[in-house]
Amino acid sequence: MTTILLLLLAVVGIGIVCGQLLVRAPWAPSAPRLTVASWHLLGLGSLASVLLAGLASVLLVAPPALVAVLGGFLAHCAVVLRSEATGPHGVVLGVAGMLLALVVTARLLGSLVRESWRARRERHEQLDRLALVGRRLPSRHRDNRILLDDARPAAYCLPGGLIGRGTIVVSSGTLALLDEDQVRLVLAHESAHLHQRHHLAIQLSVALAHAFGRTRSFRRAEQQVPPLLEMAADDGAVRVERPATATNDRAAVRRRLAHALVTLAGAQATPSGALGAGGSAVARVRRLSGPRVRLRLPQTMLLVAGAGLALAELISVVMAPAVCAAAMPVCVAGLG
Amino acid sequence: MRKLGDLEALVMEQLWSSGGRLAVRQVLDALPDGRTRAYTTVMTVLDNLFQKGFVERERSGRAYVYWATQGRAEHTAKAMEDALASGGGDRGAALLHFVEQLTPEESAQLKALLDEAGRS
Repeated sequence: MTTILLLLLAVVGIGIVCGQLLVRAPWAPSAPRLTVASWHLLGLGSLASVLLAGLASVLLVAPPALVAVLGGFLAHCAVVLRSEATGPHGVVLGVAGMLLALVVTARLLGSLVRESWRARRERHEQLDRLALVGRRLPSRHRDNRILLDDARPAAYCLPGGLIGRGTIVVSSGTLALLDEDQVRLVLAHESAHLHQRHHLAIQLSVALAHAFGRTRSFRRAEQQVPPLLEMAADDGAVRVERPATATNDRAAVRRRLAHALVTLAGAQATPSGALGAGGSAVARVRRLSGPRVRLRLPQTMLLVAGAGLALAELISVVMAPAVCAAAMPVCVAGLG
Repeated sequence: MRKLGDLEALVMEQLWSSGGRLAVRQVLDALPDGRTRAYTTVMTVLDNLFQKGFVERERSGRAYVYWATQGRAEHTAKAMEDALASGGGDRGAALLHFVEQLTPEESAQLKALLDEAGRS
């Protein structure tokens, strides 16, 4: 009982501290994808721990017959846990734990499903209309490219779900404002979004924030993830388009992309998402106009190790029964 | 699936250019290679367009006549506005924009920054 509570507190503490570190991390823009992965692993890892704590406390109230079926190690766990909490006290905790595990799972799944359906429906409405009025641009890429005859500048992509082809839309207003290199960079940026499946990362963070909105870490992750993904797409665009440009100079290509950003953002008439997304354009232009900062090896290794730990936590929840079974002889020896 | 989408655009084109109400037979005849298409295909396409709210219809004798609820320009503008309105705030990730709007001040500030970076 105390064991469970202490573990739970530790996990919450670690989650808060890691969240703070990630928000302040000066290296985040240098490794946007790794940082996004860290956010997600941190969020899911914390959830998994809560789930595990809930399930563990179920052992308090599980009937002895069921505990026996669970196998050696878990049975021993149950014995240890029961020795910590006996009487009606333990029953209340066990039921509370079970409810906690159920509620957490249901909320997460419900939110994920709701969020992906909502996004899907909105995309389909767009695609239906685009099918009527959009002009299909020739594309030798995996994605569809559509030109929309509108003088207002806009460039965006509609992801194709889990495996489908995505669609990139540019308006004629965009083409009028940019030169050929810049148009290619903008298309490559959207293409990078699609190929790297950024919408799934955003959907996950939105779903987590909606499901557990009172938790600051999740709301924070939801705000931090989209700008990082924009940076990742910028990098992808430069990587893909650099060989196609005349100079092949990385700094120059980065500046061309930054120019395109400033031109389009300055010309946009409708305040699109200006409220929520909150000025990632400024950070992106600053980042692109300076030299490319790469993560040093020790930092990368630390970050990967951190992400790996969170991942291990996640896997351990899924694999717990198997691990328990494997550890059984050791445990028995220890207890015996 | 894609083919049907293209046909929807073609059929819509006929309704827009005629400007009036057309029966399935008239749409079929107006299509560039209408003779090679089946009557039922065009009927299905028009029915789909009706389900999506892009055309209105009315019974006329034994068949329906169809007309477009919005012109081409209105559809384009609506697609654009939906896109611009989406993706910000807490609305999630239906679509991903290249860039959001900047205030004139931010824009000017960033231009200056870029010019400086270009010179060095």
